[in-house]
Amino acid sequence: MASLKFEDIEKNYDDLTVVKDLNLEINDEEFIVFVGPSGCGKSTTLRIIAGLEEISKGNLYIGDKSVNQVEPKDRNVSMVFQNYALFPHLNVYDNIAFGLRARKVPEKEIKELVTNAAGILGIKNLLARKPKELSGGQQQRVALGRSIVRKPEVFLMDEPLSNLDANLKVQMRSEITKLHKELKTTTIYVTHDQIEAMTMADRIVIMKDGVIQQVGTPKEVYNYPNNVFVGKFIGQPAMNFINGILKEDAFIFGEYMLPLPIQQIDFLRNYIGQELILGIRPEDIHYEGDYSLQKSSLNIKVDKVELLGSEAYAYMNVAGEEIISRINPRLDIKSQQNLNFYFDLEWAHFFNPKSKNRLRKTELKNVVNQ
Amino acid sequence: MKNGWRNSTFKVNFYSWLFLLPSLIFLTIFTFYPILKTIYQSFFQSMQGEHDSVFIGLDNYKYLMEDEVFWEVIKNNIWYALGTVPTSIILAMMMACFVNAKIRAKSWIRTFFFYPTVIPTIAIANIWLFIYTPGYGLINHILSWFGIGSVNFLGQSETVMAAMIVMIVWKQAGYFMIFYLAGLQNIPTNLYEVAKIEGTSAWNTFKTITFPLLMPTTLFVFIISLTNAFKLVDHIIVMTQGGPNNASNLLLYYIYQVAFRFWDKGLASALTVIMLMIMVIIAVIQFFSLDRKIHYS
Repeated sequence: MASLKFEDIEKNYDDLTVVKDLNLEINDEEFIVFVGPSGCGKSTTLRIIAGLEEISKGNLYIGDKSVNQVEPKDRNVSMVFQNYALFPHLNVYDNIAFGLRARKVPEKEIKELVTNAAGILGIKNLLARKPKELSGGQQQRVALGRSIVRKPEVFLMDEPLSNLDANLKVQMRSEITKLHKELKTTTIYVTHDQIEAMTMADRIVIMKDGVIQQVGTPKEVYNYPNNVFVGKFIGQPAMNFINGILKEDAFIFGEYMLPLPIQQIDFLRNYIGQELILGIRPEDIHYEGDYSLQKSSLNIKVDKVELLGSEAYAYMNVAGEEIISRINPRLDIKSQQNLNFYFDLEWAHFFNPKSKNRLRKTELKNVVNQ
Repeated sequence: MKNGWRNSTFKVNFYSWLFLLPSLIFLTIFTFYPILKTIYQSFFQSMQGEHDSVFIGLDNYKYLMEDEVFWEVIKNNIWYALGTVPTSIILAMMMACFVNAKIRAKSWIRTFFFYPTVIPTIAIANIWLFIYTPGYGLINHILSWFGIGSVNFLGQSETVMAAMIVMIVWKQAGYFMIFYLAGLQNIPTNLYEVAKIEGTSAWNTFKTITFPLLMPTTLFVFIISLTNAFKLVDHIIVMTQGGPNNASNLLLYYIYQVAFRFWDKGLASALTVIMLMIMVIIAVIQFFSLDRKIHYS
C-alpha cells in the first residue's frame, strides 16, 4: 500500500497536450476516482501511473520513490481494463495466476493465492473455464482477481464497469467498494460515469481537457462545484445555470426576479450591477415549497414532466434557458401548466460568466482589495 | 393442409438448391467430375492415341509400388515439405513480429519482405537461375572471393533440392508474413499491457500470449504451405525439369511427366489419386487433431 504524488505532470503527444499541470497527492488506502468526459486525460493519467505512458514533464512518486524511470513491472501496481484484457486461451485459474507466474512464485503458493482470491470474488467454481464461457460480470471478477492476487501497492481501474448492464453495474460497484474496504489498497479508478464517482470515491478528481477542475469528497464537489463545468458534470440531472444580472437584493433574468436571502446579499455585495450565472440544483427548485420560500417563487410554464419512478423532473424554460426541477413523482402535473416554483437560493451558487468559476469569499476579498 | 405444408417445404428446398446451383455447377464441372473420372481412369491402361482402354484393375497402383522413380519422387517431396513448411512459417512469424514492432521505415521493410510474392513465377525462376549459375552466378561469384571453386547448385543431385527449398522459402515467407501481420493486429494491445505491468519477460510474452493467439493463423499457413509443397511444378519445369537424375522431381511434376511426356493417362490418374489422398490426409489432420487444440477468439 502506498501514497502517490503528482508533481507538475504534463503529457504531450507531439503537439497535443493531454495532461497539463497535474498536481495531486493521493493518500495511502484512499479510493480516488478520476472522472470527466472522454478525452479529458483521465485514462492517460492512469496509464502514466501504470508506466504505460511516459511523462513528458514533472515527477510521479509512488510511496516516497520517484518512479519516472521505473518500469511498469517494478512499480508494483496492477490494472483492470475496460475490456478486462483476459487471456482468451487461458482458463480462469491461469489468468489469475498470470502475474504470479511472471514473478516466479512457486506453484504451491500460487494455488493457495489464486484459490484465496477466487474465494473473495466468489468465482471458485469457475476456475477451469475459459473467459469466453463467462458472463461479463464473471469476466470482470476474473480481471479483479488477477489484479488483487499479487497484492500490489496500488490498484488502477480503467472504466471497469462500463461494459456491464445497469443492474450488474450497481452490484459490482458495491462489491468493488467492499473489496477496497477489506484490502485497503490505494485504488485509482477512472470513469466517465459521475454516479460511479459519487458512490465509490473517497475523493473525486474531475478533469477536463487535461486539467484538474476540482478535487474533493463527493459531498464537496456536489455542493460546492468549483466552476460551471463541475456543476454540470456532477449530478444527474445537472445543476441549472441561469444567466442574469445582480440587483441590490435580487437576481434578475428575463422577465423574472428572484429575491436573495440575506446571507447571499451580504456575500454578493461587491457584484451588484454585474452579470452573473446562477447555479441551482434541481432539488432546490421546489414545487411544493414551504412558506418561508414564498418570496422567491416564480410562476413558470412546465414544458414536460419526466417520471423516473422514485422521482420526477419538470422541464421548464426561463429566459431562454432550460431548467429542471425535481418534483414529487406522485403529483399529477401535466405539461403546459403554469405553476409556482420556489427557488431555495441558500444552496445556490453564483459563477463568473467569463471565467465560469464559482464566486467565493476569497475572491470577494480580492475584489475589495482592488 | 398437408398439401400446403408439403408445398412450402418444397419451396424452401427449391430456393436453397437454386441458390446453391451456380457454385454447384462449377464444383461439379471442375472438381467432382474430374475426381471421379480420374479415379475411374486409374483402373485402366490407356495410352494417348489408342482409343480402346483396357481395364487392368489395380495394376497401375501395383506398378507404382514397384516404380523406383515414384518412391524417389515421394521421398523428394517429403524432404521438400520438411524443408519449406517449418522454415517458411518460422521466418514469416519472425518477419511479422519484426515489422509489427515500432521500428523506423516500417512500411519499406514490409514491402521488401512482401516483394518476392508479387514477382511472377518465371521471373523468380530466372532470378534464381542466375543466382545459382555455375561460374559467374551470384553465389559462385561470392564463393570465389573466398577461393571456393564453382559449384553447380542445380546440376548436382546433392544440392539441387536444397537450392529449390531456399528459393521457395524466399518466395513464400513474405506472403505468409501478411497473414501473421493480420493475426498480430488482431491481438488486443491490452494483453501486452497486462504483461508489461505483471512483469512478463519478452520471450515469455511471446510464448504465453503472441504464439498461442497466433495459432489459428499458424494452422492456416501450415495447411497452405503443406499443400503448396505438394503442388510445386512451375519452378521445376523452368529450372531443373526434375533433374538431375530425378533429384528434384516432385509429385506434381512427375504426374505432368507421366501424363504429357509419356502419355500414360492411366498411370497419371493413379498418381493423381495418390496425391489426392495425401491432400485428404492433410485435411483430416487439420480437422481432427490440430483444430481442437487451437483457441479461436
